[in-house]
Amino acid sequence: MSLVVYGIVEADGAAVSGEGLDEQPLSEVTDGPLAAVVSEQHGAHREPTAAALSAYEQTVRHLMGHGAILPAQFGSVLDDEAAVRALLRRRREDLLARLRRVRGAVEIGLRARWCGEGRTRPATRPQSGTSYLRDRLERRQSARRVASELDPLAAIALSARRSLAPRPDLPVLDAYLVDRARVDEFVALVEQLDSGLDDVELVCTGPWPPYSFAEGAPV
Amino acid sequence: MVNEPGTLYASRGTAASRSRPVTLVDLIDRVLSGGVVVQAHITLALADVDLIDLDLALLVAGTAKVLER
Repeated sequence: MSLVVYGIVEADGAAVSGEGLDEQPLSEVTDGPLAAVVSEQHGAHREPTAAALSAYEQTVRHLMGHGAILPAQFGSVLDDEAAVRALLRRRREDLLARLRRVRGAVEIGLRARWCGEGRTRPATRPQSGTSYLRDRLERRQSARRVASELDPLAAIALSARRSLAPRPDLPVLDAYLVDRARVDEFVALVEQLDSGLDDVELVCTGPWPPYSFAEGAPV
Repeated sequence: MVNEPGTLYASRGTAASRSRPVTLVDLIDRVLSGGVVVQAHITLALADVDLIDLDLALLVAGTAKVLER
């Protein structure tokens, strides 16, 4: 038997309720000020099917209703409680700082996609190596221009993560950590910025648990 | 529970503006590539799988499930 980890929370002594994957009851493994929410896993590792990902996300979201949580990556399985405690102890300071950071906040995703003439651009076959590089450079420069138009959003957010031109059709893929009370204001600003952008379409999704702010650059 | 994630805003005319549900790729983006990394060898060999391929594989798997019913 091993333990599926759903996320890291502050240990507050309150019993966790609810079910995780495979209808297994949730429980907490505590080490000092931190606790990991886990459920037992009997048998084989869960494949990342759409249904499993969705069930996992729902569990994390349920937990988020009770306080700040750093979601774990799907597929996080540890051998036993001792391994979970060791993780909580080893990364205590970092995890505590990140938890403080995400308290009262949600993640909002933003995608900018080329539309109109821009949409066909990535599909054209380059004539030579030089033109391929030139196209790539141009795409990156135009992605940078779109990104700079979106910069005002960072002022409303507590933190932001940006991927510039992660795919030919996407000049910008952003994640923002936004105080719950400012989500409406954030979305209104997205709408306002959209009216000034002719060649991209914006799609803004959320509210998500802070998946994109649980790892990466120190807080 | 926190509100179910959905499309908060979409430019007029985009596919997302016509349908409320969040695409699978948004979910995959977060649940698989975000989150606290608890162990190095995460989720089988997922780290090596291109997320676009994975998205397709999940869609195919989802379709197969629907057909089974």
